[in-house]
Amino acid sequence: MAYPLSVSPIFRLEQNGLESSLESSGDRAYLYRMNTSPGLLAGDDINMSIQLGQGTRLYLADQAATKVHTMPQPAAHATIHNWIEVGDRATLEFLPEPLILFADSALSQTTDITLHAEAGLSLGEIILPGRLARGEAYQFRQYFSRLRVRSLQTAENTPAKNAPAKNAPAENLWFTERINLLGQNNPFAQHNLFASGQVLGSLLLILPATVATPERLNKLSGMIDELTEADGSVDLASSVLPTGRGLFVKAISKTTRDMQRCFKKAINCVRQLQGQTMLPYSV
Amino acid sequence: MSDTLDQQFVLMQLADSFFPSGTYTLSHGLESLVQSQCITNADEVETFVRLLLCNKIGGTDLVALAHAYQASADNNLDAIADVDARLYAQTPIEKTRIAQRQSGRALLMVASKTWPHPQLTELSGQTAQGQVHCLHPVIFAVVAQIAELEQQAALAAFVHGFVTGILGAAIRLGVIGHLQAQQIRRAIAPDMTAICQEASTQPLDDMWSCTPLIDLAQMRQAKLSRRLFAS
Repeated sequence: MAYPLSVSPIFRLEQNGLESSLESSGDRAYLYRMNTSPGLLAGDDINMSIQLGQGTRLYLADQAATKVHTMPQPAAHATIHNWIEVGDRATLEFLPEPLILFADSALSQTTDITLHAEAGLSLGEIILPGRLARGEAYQFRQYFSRLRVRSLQTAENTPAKNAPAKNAPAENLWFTERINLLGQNNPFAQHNLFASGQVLGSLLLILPATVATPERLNKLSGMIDELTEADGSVDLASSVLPTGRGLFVKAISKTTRDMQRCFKKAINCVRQLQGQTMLPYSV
Repeated sequence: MSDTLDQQFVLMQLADSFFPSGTYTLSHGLESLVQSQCITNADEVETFVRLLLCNKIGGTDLVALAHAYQASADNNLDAIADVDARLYAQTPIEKTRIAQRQSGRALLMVASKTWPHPQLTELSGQTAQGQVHCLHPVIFAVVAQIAELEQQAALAAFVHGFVTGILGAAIRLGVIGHLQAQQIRRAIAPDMTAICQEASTQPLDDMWSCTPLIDLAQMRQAKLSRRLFAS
């Protein structure tokens, strides 16, 4: 077993971190996730766990894209498991660099998130269906992803031991997304109605319960819409999540850079809504 | 009248647009795509319907329907509510959730009067108390089971209603004519059969979808300045 993942020293990039009384005190930490491996090979299994304690704030970035390399054996695949827990009044912003699905690769990814009612989360994902610069697209075998967001069990919301276990499996489930993106066997891959560009992205923007009023969500949705109008290179839209705690943003673009710039702007929209400082190194 | 013939009549009643469940008000993102000129002809309508069937409805709604049908057959109302909650959590587009809920409630109301049954009475009570979302595929499954349709017939009736609803929307949006609608309906029959057969074998945990551009269109539908359809 090897441990290819590590993190950089903490950067404190915000002088004060706060501009309004909406927020509790505490600077935000900026970290880079570093990967010493060349990427994912057949049979690789990467596990990552992130836990944010009460009142903490983290902006996590990647050092480089995750390359899912060619796996010539038909049944071979790599797996990624992410566990994320964000505590009371804590905030995680995580914009990983793209996943690049090389020809004949297969990847299965699961992301399990538990959030306190007063936690915030901005989590992005960008998928490249091949090494686009060399004209390789949809030559991978399969990308399967499951994202699940649940409420963090606390003394207040844990049912009493004798309470009936009604609807137990879905009880604390806020949101699930399961994608099954086929490559070589995708009959729709080249059709414009499947995707208008090669770069696929999604962004989960979850606000603390006390911030996520319908008015603020409506305002945030309007700000996200303006990103599309201002930046015609990215096709994106948003919708209110099942719990009413935030927005789910879907995006399609022709280049990774456009998508990343757009997602950083979206995070700035969330920060602006809460009176926080904008991301450093302005987008 | 034989049981088989009786079943066929029930199937036709449930699958007919004459049945007032409100699904005829849905375009599933087609209207947004027509307005943005992404869909302008019959070939594109056919691809749109195929994409929805193979990459969304077959992997989510039908799987939920199959499990809700079995839960109803087992008279397990907790399991029905669980399917309903999971499908709700896995429907990221607000307008789709609202449409699913409205048509589910309309169906429940009509079915409660047409096929009175304790399960429907209980579901009506749970819906009124906000204990279940009452999503259309789940309620459709329960109604079909109570009306003594086989599971495959229930899946077929749902898919038929879904497809004719979209093709009807395409006609009303002026992108295809009645003849083209019938040709598309015939052409996609193998896809309809395949997703019905697959859905009944899939675990509830394996519900999935993958329609990137249609998701964007469905998200934008609610914000169109002028529109004919709810979704």
